[in-house]
Amino acid sequence: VNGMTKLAHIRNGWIYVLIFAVVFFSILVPIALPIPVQPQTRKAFDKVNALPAGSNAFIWMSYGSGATAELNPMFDALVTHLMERGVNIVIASRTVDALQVAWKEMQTEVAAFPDYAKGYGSKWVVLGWNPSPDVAIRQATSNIATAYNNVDFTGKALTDMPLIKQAPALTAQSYALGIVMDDTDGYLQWINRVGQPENLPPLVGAIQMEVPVVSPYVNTGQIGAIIPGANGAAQYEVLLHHPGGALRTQNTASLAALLVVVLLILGNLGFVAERRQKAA
Amino acid sequence: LSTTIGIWVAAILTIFAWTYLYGDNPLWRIVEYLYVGLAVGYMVGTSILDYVWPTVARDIPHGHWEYVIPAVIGLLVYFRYGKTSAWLARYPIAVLVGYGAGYQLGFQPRTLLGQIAGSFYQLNKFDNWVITVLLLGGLLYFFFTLGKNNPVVKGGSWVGRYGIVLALGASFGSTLLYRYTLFYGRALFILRDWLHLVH
Repeated sequence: VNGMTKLAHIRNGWIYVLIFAVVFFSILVPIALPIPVQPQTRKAFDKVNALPAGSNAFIWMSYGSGATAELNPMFDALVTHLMERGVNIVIASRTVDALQVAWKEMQTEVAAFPDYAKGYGSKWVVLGWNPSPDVAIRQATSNIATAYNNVDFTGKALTDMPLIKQAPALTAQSYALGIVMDDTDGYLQWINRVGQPENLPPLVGAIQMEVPVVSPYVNTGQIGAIIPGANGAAQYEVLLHHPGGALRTQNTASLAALLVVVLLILGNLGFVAERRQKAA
Repeated sequence: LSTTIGIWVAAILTIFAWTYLYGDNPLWRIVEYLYVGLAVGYMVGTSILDYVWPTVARDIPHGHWEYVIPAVIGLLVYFRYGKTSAWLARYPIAVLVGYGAGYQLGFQPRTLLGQIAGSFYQLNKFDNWVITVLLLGGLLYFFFTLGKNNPVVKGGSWVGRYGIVLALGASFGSTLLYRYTLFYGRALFILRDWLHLVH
């Protein structure tokens, strides 16, 4: 019992060492774990898959650079799917760093699609920065160019771009789908300012931590569909037949979950042993 | 090993940040101050280039004189540095708070009403029964009018407490996995982009 009580007081340092070992091992020695596709990810995939060629999608980047490990693979999978479908893409950002992230990711993703690689302004656009992003997204429902001060990410005039001329306002008439890539409450701002007033419920790509909070809005139809965290992104990659960064994260997630379960069991064994020792 | 200076800088700063696990130290402080400084600097720079400067240099001289009014109200915030003129800084704050409150009242109720309406389920599935029982239990846990000695409130609170604990557990588990993914992102960067040990 004396040895067991030590389990309740494992030093933080040892736990950090174990976490480092598990994460680095999972990257160096990948294990191809099966990824079953859940109905909610299937629903999100079907929504994008149903978009006709030439229609428009609006992506709102609502995450900081800290969430890139989880949301970048999801973003990549989504834009790849949109480009495969021939859908035009307009991207705005709720955080200033995500604007940079979106631009960088798009540079990589469009390389595989010649139409898009040569079609900046007509096939895809990254809008400029507005310091009041929640207000801007509402203003965009009237006029996108006005909301973003008529500048794109590179400083060019939005009103000169064929895509913005063709779809000048964020409405259900101009945009077949709204997507929120989210690590905080961007989904709520979209529902309030765009989703309900314009009847454009979003597809939300959420970080794992946010999934329990976002799910009630899916049940009520205020959110059209959800891709739940890195696991959802991995499922999306499976559906897309396009293995990428998300599938890779699932090794780490599975081994990390296993480590947490082992630590929980050991900690509880130590706790019970300590209580018995005190009672005796 | 990578030959790009930017990747070396990012990798070394990542390792500096990890030293915080050992305790507060100067290497961690370098990363902390750099991060805050860069984040603020980048945001201010982008806001000026993308928003303030086009408004001042392009829109106002081309006839949008109405933009001068919010600009002047915004500039009043700097009066807070003067002892006798600090009261003027309250005006932009008042405008912001009033605007925020109005905006929320205009849009938020519809969303919340949707959530309330969505809480009423047809009791034709086991899942719906679970949701309804835990919802009522959760409400009773925060219901203090009749006191906790009332048997209905007491029993409901007991159920509600377990419902709340289950929900918090789900959130905590999700948070933990999310943090692992964050760490995974940096570890992958070190092994792939910096050390070229994986592809």
